[in-house]
Amino acid sequence: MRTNEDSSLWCGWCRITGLGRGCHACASRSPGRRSCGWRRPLNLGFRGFVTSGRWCHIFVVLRSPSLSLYPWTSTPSPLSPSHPSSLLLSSPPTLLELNYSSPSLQLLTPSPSQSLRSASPRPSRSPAWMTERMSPTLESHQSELVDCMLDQINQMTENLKRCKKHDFRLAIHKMEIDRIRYMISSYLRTRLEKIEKFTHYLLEKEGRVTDESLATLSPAEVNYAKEYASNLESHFQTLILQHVPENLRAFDPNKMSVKPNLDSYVFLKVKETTPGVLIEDDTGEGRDEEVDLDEGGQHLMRYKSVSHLLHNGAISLI
Amino acid sequence: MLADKALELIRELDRTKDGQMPAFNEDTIRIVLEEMNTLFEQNQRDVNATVAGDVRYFSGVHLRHAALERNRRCLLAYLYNRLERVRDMRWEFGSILPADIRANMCEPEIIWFNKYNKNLASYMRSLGEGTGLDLTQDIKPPKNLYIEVRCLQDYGEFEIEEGDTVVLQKNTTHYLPMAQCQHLIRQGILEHVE
Repeated sequence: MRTNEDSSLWCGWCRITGLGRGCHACASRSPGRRSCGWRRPLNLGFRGFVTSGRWCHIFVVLRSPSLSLYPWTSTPSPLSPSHPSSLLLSSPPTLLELNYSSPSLQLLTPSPSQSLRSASPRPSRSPAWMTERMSPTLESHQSELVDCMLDQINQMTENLKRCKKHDFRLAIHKMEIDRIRYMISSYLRTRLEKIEKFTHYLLEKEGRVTDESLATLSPAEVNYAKEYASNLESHFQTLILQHVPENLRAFDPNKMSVKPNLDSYVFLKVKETTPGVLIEDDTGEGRDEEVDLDEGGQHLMRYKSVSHLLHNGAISLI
Repeated sequence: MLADKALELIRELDRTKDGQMPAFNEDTIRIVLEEMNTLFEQNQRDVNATVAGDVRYFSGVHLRHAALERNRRCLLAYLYNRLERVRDMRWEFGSILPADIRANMCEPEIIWFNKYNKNLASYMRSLGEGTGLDLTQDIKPPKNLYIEVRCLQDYGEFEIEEGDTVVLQKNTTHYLPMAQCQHLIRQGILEHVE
């Protein structure tokens, strides 16, 4: 996915990661220097958007006053091992603050301009990781994103091998890789946990879906779920079901499987003003209510009443 | 009382702490299964009598059937919850279980465990367009690139990136890259010093 333009035109930061032109660092450079042709990150599609996340990160660290040795602000000399690596130590609070600041979280957010998602009728605009962790049920899969991120990590690891061993930038980049990997793993783990818990429910739901873009499970996850279900059933068969009286031998997933509790309550933040959200009254006394959700508001509401808003991106779970 | 033994199974499992594996209670399961068969036979007899025209025993059939269903439900719940523990252990200890836990599992459970391993491994391999990602790593969010670890047993030479090696001897402490010593921590060779 690397652009095939002459990489010698990139600024040092872009060259290290090989992610191509378009980091924030380039934007701040004084004119006249060799520029790598920075453009608005969003125009660069997915790559650019991830890049922007990462560079925000490092950019903020390096812009703090104690770090005036920033290669493109005053001294053009590259940072050598002899440079104080205490640069990092001098600003631990900044680094710590940034640990899970927005850039990292946004990494799993599909960008609106992303061509990959354009096929999907309902681009979710909240961070997939957060949504997945907060939602009581399984949300639609983002396997293209995950694949993309993994590809990124691999590429970045490759590029980092070219770096000098004691370059202090190496530490920042490695840390970043670790964090991204953690996020992806955690996201996929959460999904697996839900798949294992709600196997039959999800498989049945998947069977009813005709449009592939609406599928909750990715093909790999479908295989996993099917295999898991059949393993479970054969285990029950060998140990119990084949020994019980005939009329009780059948394994009925509908009666015996766990279903997600869609009535549970979730915290949400409103991203687009949505008037007139219907809150149904389940007691049957007809006390239905309509609520107006204003942008920026935070609510605690039943998942079922707002799930359609979550899918079209009007709210995000927090 | 009807279905008493089955409830005992559930209680027994509930009393052991999470993360522990009580021995598979085959004897009680056998007793419950026998009880179910007896109930079924009695039901069979009464149903035949009802069909023949004697309706005096019909409410007994209902009662026994409820007991049968309860027994089955308890048995399946017992199995299911044990499997959940086995699964948690897969994530905690990796694909090879400690011998003491293995000893408390029955044969079908070990078969299930192996199948689960295989399934999980093939799923993890399929991630990232075939490059694979080990989901059992990175359980905690990374705080630092390097962590301080204490060696709990002699391990010998351990190679970290780019050809550097450290000798891991018992009771020595090291400052190692987290990504690379994670699996040693989980095997119990290293201990993370906070």
